[in-house]
Amino acid sequence: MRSRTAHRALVIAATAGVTLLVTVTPALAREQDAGSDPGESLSPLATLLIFVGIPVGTFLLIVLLVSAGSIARGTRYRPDRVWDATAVEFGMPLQPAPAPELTRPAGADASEPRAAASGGHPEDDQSGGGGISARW
Amino acid sequence: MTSPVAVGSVPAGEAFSPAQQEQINRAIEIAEREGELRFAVYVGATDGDTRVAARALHRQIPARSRAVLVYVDPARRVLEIVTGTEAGRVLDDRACTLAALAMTSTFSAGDLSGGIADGLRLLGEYAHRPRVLHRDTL
Repeated sequence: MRSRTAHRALVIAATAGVTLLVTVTPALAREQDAGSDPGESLSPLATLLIFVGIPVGTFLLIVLLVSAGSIARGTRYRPDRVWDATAVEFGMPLQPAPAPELTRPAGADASEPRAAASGGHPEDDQSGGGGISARW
Repeated sequence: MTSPVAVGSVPAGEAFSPAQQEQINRAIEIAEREGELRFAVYVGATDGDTRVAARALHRQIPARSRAVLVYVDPARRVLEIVTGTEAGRVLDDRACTLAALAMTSTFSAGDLSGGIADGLRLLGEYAHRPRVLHRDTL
């Protein structure tokens, strides 16, 4: 993993260096070509604006355009991120949980192991009620 | 175990955008249309056993015998589908497993609301299947 990162850094550095060297060559020319008119030199502020301001501005614009969609959509679940959002419920309104002693039928035997473990109706756990569990 | 009782009143602010909430609500509406079953969805973290928590939540649903609860814990990546007594006859475990498969594959792609909507659609379609009179004796 580390060698891969180092390899990437090396490739980026080499590409940037070679590109810089190749493109900078004309600026190293000692004499002006015949008929060339260099014009006024740029002020430091103008240089900064053109060579720093415009690239940074373009970068920020692209970032904004890329992230605009997800910002508009709101919070998005990602499997590799921690989930700390407030729990939500859709569908039917839930009614407050009745006390188990009151809802348990008179004839229900409390010795039924699974119903006792989950503290509720034997009907849900034993007869008929079903469902599955899954992970991702 | 902390029971997720008070959760029902919490507005879905952080977890889903209004469009995603609408997507889930519409999926519930479609799944319940023309069917006898009621569908509920819970999305949130669980402290204890998710199966126990899901069953506890299912018990709080009015007329729970015909209710189906889709319980999603994104923090632990667990999905539980709990069916009531009547609902379990219409939606057997095979149907629930198929829906769960569709949901978890969409969840792992990062689309929580889309997965829930897909699963509800599948469960609703299965619940709407034409009743065969000589086989399905409800």
